[in-house]
Amino acid sequence: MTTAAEPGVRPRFLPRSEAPTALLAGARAAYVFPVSPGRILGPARLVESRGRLPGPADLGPAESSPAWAVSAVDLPRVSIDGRSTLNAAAVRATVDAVLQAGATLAGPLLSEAVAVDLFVHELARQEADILILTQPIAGEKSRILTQALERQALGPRVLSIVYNGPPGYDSPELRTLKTCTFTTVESIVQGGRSNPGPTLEALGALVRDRLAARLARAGYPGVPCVSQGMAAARAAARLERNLGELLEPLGPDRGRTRTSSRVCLVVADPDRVEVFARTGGRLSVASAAFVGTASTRLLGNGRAGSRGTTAQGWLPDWGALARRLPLDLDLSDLANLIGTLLVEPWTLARGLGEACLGAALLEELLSEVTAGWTAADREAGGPAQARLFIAAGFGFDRLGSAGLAAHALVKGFQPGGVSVVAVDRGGALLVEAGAPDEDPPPGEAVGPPPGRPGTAGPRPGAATARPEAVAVIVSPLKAVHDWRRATTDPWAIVTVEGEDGASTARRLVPGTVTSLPLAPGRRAVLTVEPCHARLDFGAGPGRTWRGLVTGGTAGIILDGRGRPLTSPDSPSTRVAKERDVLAAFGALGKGDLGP
Amino acid sequence: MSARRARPDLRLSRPLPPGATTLVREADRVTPETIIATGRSHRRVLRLPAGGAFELLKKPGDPVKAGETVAVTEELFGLGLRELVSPLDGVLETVNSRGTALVLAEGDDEIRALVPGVVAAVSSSEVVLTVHGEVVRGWFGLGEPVAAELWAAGELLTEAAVRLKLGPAVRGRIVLAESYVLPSVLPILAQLGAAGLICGGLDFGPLWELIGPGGPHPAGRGLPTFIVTDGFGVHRIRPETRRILARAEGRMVYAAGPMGGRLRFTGPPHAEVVVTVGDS
Repeated sequence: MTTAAEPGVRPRFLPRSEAPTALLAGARAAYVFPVSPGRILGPARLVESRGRLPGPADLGPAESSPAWAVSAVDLPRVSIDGRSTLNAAAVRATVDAVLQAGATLAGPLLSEAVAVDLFVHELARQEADILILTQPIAGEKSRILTQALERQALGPRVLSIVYNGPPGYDSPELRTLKTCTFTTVESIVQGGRSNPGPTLEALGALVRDRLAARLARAGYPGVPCVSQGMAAARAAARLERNLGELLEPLGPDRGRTRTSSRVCLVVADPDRVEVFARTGGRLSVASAAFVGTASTRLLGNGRAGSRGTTAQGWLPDWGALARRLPLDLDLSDLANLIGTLLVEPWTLARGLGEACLGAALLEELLSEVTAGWTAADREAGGPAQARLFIAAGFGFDRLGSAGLAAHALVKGFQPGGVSVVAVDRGGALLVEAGAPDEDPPPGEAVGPPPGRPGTAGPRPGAATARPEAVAVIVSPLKAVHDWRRATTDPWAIVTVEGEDGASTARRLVPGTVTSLPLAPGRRAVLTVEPCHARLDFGAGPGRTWRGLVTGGTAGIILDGRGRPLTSPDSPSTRVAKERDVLAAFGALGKGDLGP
Repeated sequence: MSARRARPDLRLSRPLPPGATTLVREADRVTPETIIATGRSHRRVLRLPAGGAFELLKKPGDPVKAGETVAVTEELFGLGLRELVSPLDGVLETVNSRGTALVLAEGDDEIRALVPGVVAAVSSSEVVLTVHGEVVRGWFGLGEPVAAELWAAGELLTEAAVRLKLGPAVRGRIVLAESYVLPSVLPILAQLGAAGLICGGLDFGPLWELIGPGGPHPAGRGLPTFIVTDGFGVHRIRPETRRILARAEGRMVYAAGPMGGRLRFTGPPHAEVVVTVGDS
């Protein structure tokens, strides 16, 4: 790669670290972004990577030297040991730390195995790279683990063992073994409060080392890198700081307490989602996957579930999934399409029908996350209480429609009150959040290895990428619509007052989904006046909600389907209603899906 | 998916279980019967009643046979007895310290080459063989590597065709179905002792009911190795693939699903069928 000749300066080859691209290697697909140091200059280019880290040849001659990389490929697999029935808080906090560090949860809790001897067998089966002990191990369990490591029964890899349980524990046997490393960090729960920092720092270092080695093998030695999980955690923090740009209540907002999530960033692949929820500076993370470990089960139940350690994943009931679709699909065809998606999760949706099925699968995953989250952390209320929802990742991109992605978020989380749904096309927010930082916080170091000059990057908060707002959603926090009844009295009167003083009012009628236009980027004052004293739109029962909102591609959506969401029993009515909703989100035109 | 033309130096990876002992070195010439490694990969756990109300008839380290009683437990407050029977040939590996479970392990598996070839690389996790032949990469598959005679069953589209065509003749063989098969064929083939199944397509819904976590055969356990060549739903084996398999009818072929113990949908490793040509 050469630069244009400047007066008095000879043309020269740019070193790798100055190449103007950044790489986002997702678990299923990869993107390349044109960048100036630390900033994104244009839309991403999708690279067919089939779940592997693309090599320099895959990126093309002009893009073969990324300035930095964000990766979710081949991250260390982590097994967590701890009796969740006795130590649920530590296990949940550890799951949070694992996902935030960007590592992969390898499997359910080992202590749920019926026999201690299975501990090692299960560890080998889960192919763990890292084992986190949330409580001391002793006696037979310790002896069996030591023996297995001595005779390399877990395979040729060196197992990294991290102990984050109560202080005072040590294992001289494990410390002296060459087939493992043993590290103790501060307890992840201290005085009943979560203390994730030390665990996150230790995991972050292990993930960073693995990523650097993996990138070097792929042909990018010394390229600064960060895991996708860490980039998402940073992006969520930036979004929380900038929330006011999209939504700013002007009065009381009682529907959401101070402990409620404010920002909910979803990073999705077609078969898995990770949810990063920010609540007043605190981050909570959960994930769900069709095949593999559904960590929400760990979060929600504090144990591996009724199926014990054999649990490998799940698929939704075919009938329930079919009811989410705006078309009448034979269950056999539906199942085969799902199977095809699981076998080839890196493919783009070939038409609106497949896109709707992909969206329905993501809705199921998000519902699973929400259910597990609510069960685990009733006080915070779960991600459904957030004000801003952002869809990121190939799972949403492959749908080919921002409206469809936004609607999947709404159906998955069912937010009440006034919320904003937005998309992050190509993962620009993740890439920018993963740019090398001159002064990374502990556990988030992304800079080049020692001895190598760093690339100047943006300071935290200097982000230029913005999510693409799709819609402001207005819905009561709790209200049920009876679909057997004809249209009833309105739930609220919604008024939009633009910057030019023009005002538009519309009724939010139960059983209907309509939209009010508000162009992308335009600010307006939104007023929601409940028509019933019991209805709450975020300001308290019967009270008027007022706030500043920013328009999106679908404007302001008045969602009269109720919370929790229900749909008509009649299949033909349900399909018609679903199509009306998708049309309101701008995901569907007339005749798009046939009769 | 697609079939590839023969390449003289086809490389075939044979994954090894953790802790396996390799018995071959690079450049060694192997036959299908050559034992390339030994290792223990299958275990079963039998639950024991809490409180120690049981008697072990074997001690840790003792060999056991499938069907042999390994422990007797008390039921109905001592009024009844129940026998715990070993589901496998192997050894009673251990009883846990709380006396609530015993672990049975199959004896060291002898991992054979299954194809003629030359050892190209050896590591603790795999043995790579250079094989002279053709490979058919599957769309989806499950199961351990097997080598057996390919037996063409024609179409198995209906229950009637399954009843009519499948019988004791399939024992120890890999059954080749021309196009779509009913997933219910898989347990039938398991009962008949077939080594494997190659078909064009099958429906994912009923397959998931069989192999999903809540199904009777999680991750395909207890089913013969099977390879779906062209996709979920009704698919005929592509002509190119069919030509390769037609040449192998009545001969030994190698077939392997991509996984052992964990459900994975995407490769690598992929489900594959290898038809060897002569000796490497």
